[in-house]
Amino acid sequence: MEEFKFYLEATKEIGYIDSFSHSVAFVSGLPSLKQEEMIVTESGKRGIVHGLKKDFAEVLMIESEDLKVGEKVTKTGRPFEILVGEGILGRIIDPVGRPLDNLGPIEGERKPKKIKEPAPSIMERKMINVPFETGVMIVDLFVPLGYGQRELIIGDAKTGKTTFLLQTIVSQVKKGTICVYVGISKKDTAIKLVEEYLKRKRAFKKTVIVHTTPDDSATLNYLAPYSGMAIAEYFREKNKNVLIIFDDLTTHAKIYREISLLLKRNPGRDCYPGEIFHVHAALLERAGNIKRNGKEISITALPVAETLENDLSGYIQTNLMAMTDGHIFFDIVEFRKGKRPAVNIFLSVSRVGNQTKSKIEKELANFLRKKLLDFKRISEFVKFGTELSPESQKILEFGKKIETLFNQTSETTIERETQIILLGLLISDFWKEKSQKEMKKEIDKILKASEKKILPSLGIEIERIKDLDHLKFLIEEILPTIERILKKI
Amino acid sequence: MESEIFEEFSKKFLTKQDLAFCLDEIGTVEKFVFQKIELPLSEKVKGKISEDFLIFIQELERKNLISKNPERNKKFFENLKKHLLKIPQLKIEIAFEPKRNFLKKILDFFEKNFQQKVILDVRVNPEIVGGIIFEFGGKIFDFSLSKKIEKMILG
Repeated sequence: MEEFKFYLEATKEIGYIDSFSHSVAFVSGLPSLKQEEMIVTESGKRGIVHGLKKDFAEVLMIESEDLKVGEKVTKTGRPFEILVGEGILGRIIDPVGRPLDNLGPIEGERKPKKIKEPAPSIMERKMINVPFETGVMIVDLFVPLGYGQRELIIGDAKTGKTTFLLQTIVSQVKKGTICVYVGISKKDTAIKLVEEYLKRKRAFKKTVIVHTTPDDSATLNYLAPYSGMAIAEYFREKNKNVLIIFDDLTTHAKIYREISLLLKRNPGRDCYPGEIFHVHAALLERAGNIKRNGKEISITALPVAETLENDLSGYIQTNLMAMTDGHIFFDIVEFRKGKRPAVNIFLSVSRVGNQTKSKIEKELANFLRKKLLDFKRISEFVKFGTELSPESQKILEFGKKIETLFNQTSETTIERETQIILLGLLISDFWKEKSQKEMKKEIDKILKASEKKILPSLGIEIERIKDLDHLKFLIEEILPTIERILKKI
Repeated sequence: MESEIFEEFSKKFLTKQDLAFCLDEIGTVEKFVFQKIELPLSEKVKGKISEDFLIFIQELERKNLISKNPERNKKFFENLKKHLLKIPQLKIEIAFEPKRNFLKKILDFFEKNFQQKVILDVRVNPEIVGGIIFEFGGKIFDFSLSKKIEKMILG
C-alpha cells in the first residue's frame, strides 16, 4: 500500500484492473505507460507491462494471488529490476531476487539491474579464442567449446544433460568462472540435488541458482532466464568470466506459449506465438565474448532443450539449434547401452569451439573420430555373426578401449592436460594388452593422481605439441613415473 | 442527424447511475421492437419505461427517426447504446453525499474548461475529510483536505 501511494504521488497516474486470467492482467488508464515498465497495485502486487493496446495494457503479474477486478494500479516509471551483488553467490534465489534457501536475507551491497538489456554491439564482440573446459573428455575432445560460445545441450529427459552441466560448473569454478544455473519450472527436489552436488564438489560458493517451480506463476517462470542473464551481466561487468545455464528453454517456450495464449495472441506452429524465436534469440544474444576496458571477458551460455525419443526436428529444438553456435546431443539410445556421458559425437557439433583448440587436440579428435567410425561400422557386422579378420578385430578392440576411456562417471571432471595424457597413453598402445576392466582401474588411478596433483606434467605447453608422434614421444618420457604411480595407488 | 440526437440526448446524464438506468431502459425498449410491429413503439413501451424516455421515443417517431421497421429501430437503439458507452467518465471522490446541483456545477465546470462531455462516477469517501479527488483519462488530481493535512504534518 505504501509503495502504491509513493508511486501514485510521484507519477499522478492511475489505472484499474479490467480483467485478469491466471497471471495476466488487463489494465486500463495509465496514459503514459511504457513497454516493460513495472506497475504496482493498491495491494502491493507487482507486474510488468508486456503489451500496450489502444485502450488497455497487458500486464504479467509477478504476484497474482487474490487479484481483484477493479483494483487500482499505478505505474512506477521504471523497468523491472533485480537486486544483484556479490552476496548472491552461493545462494538460491527466485527471479525477483528473493532467497529460497532459508539462509536469511542476502547480505552485502546490492544494486538494481534491469533484467532486459540490449545485447552487446557487434563492435564490442571479439572472436572466441580461449578453450572452455567442461571436464568431460568426450566433449572437450570432439565438441570443444570456447569462452563466450552458446552451445545447446539437447537430448531426451534423464540422459545425463544436467549431470554434464554440473560437471562443467565444477570444472569452470576451478578456473575462477562465476556460474549461474537457471532452473526453469524445476521441482524443489531436482534443485536440491544440484545444490548438494555443487556443495560436495565445492563449487557452490561461486554459483548462483535462479529457481522456479511448476507451482510458480507463469510470469516468474518466464522471467527466470532474464534474471539469470542480468546476474551474469553483473559479474561480467566486474570483469569475471561467467557461465550461464538455462535448464531448460523448451519448458520456457511452453510457458511463453501459455502466456501468449492467455493474451489471445494468434497461435502459430505448435500453438507457439510467432515471436518465440526472437524471445530466445534476444536472450542468447546477450552472451558472447566481448572486449571491455581493454580486457576480453565472456558469458558462455549453455541452454538446454529437451527432446522426445531423440527427435531433433521439433520446432523449439530446431529454433534453438539455429540460434546457438552448435549443440551437444545426448542420445537416449547410447544412454540405454550404458554409455556415460551418452553424447553422440556424430550428431553433435561445435561451430566456433574448434578454433580454440590446439593442433594436437584437433589431430587427436580426427584420429579417434575415424577410429570410432570404423569401430561403429564393424560393430554392425558383428551383429550378423560374421567372422572377422585380424585387422577388423584390432579395430574392434581399439574401439572398445576408446569407449572405456570416454566412459566417465558423474563424479569426475578431467583437466585438459590429464585428458591429453590419457589420450596419449591410449594412442601409445599403453593398454593394448590389458583388459577393459584393468584399463578402467588404471584410468581411475591416474585420475586420482591428477586430483592429488602427483601426476607428472607433459613438460611442454599443449599448444606446442606438434603431432601425434610428438605426443607419443612425450608420453614415453613420463611413462616410468606413471607406472610407478599406478603401482603405488 | 442521428449523432446530433445522441449528443443532445446524452446531455441529460450527470452520473454513471443515470447512464446505467438509461441503458436498462434501452434494453427494455429493445425487447418490444419485434413485437406487434403494426403498433408504434411508444405505444408498446408505454408504462414500462420512464416518462422522460417515453417522450424521447415519441419525439423520435415524430421526426421519423424510428418507424415501424423493426430492423431499423433495433439498429438505432444499438447505435445509441454504443454512443452512450463511449462517453468518458470523470471519477470524483468527495467526503459527503453530493446534491444533484453540486454535481451539475462540477460537470459544467469540466465541460466548459475541457470542451468534452463526460459522465461523473461519484465515490463518497469520508476519509478524505474534504475537498475533491479527480480522476480522468488515467490521471489523478488530489485536491483533498486529507492530503493537505498529511503534507502539513509530514512537512
